Amino acid sequence: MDNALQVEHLQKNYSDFTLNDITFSVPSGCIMGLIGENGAGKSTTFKGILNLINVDGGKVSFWGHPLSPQEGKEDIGVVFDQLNFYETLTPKQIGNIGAAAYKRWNQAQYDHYLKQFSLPAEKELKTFSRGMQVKQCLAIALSHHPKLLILDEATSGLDPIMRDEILDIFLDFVQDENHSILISSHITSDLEKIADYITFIHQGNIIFSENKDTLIYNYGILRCGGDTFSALDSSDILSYRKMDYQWEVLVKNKKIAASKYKDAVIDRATIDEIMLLYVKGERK
Amino acid sequence: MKSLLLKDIYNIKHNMKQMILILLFISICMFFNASVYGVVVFCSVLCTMMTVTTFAMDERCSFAKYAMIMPISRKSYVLEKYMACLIFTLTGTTIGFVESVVYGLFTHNLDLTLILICTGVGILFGLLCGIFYIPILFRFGSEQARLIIFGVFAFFGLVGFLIYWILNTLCIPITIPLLTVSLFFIPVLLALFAVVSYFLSLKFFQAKEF
Repeated sequence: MDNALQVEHLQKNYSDFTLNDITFSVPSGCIMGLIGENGAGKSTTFKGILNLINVDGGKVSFWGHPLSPQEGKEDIGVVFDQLNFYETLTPKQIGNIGAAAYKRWNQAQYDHYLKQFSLPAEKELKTFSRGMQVKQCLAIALSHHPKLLILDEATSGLDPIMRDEILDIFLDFVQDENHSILISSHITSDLEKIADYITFIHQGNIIFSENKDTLIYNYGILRCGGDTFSALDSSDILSYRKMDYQWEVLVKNKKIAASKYKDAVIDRATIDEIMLLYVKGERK
Repeated sequence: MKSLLLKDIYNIKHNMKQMILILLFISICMFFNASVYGVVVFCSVLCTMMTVTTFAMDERCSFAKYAMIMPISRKSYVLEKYMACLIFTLTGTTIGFVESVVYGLFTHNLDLTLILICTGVGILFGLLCGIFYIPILFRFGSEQARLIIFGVFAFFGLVGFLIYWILNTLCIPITIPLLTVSLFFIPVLLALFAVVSYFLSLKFFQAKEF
């Protein structure tokens, strides 16, 4: 499978934060979810990928090539966590700006998205709700036939109904096997719904970059008392934390763990729980 | 480039009513004070200042960051600001020119040569201001740059005064032929300034992280 995006050893040093050796890839036709707590380095990774910051090392390639200042950007649609047009502009005016900027701009498609998203073409952006703003961003991002969508917290601040609607648009987009999405979100349930792969960044480092099904079907949370915890093989423990009455242990393969530790209860781990145990837990 | 110009024009269009009102009000005041020909220069400089507004608007919505994910190079982004400045200056000068001509016709005191010279001065002075402050805007952002720009205007005022003082001391009268010769000479200097200004702006913008 070809990679739409390949990030290799991306490095960015700030005085108080380091994005360290970030390596992952987004295969064509897939959705990659980027998760991590606030300040973990998700947005810095996006900026590094999009050349918005001067990185200190590493390589980023889109379909095997570095991002060219003009032509390459035609294939990429980006949605940031805010609308980047001045509040007095209207969707119609933005359409004209998009048409002048992108060679492959499809005005009919843009108008169709405005209609589909119920966005009034002549109304100023300042009257738009957060949901409408996200939809406006998506309408622009989708109307120049991109092959890769890069979405930075695009669904944050939206109600569940609006999020569901937008997730359906993403799923529609990847129906074409040449289309891919890289999406970061705090709302891991959204990613559980749509992502094929999950990359977890914590304090500027990649903790894992895995197939989502592997995470959901293989990872597990082992709950046990102190005696059982002491008897656990440290190689089985990814992370653990002490709760009021029990220990919670993240294990990579819940079936193997279940056969090894009969006294323990092992549950399916959600992405939220995996993230929480990595961030708040300890490692042996 | 075209998309950026379109964006700036749409953004500014929103402030147009206010701008026209300000231009009319101050022009009327100047006419009453018999500063008929200063109106052209005033309109030119005021419209040039709209470039600062476009920077402020871009900053408010982080547009530059978005522009960098569009098929727009950093060079184009910088160049567009100079183009916008030129368009705004020419628009302001045209408005001032029309106002002066209309006033001259109404008062039966039309001196077209002087109006044309003032128009030239207006364009040159407006562009000079723009060329001077665009790199400052790229380096410091619109908020900080506003203060610096006041300093720039004070500096130009001082330079103008010094030139006047030197000419006065050397007993060289400021005549229309002298002004006309200067108008032909200054564009060359202005072009040189513009090139230096553009590369400075580009350097600042290329170092910028979003």
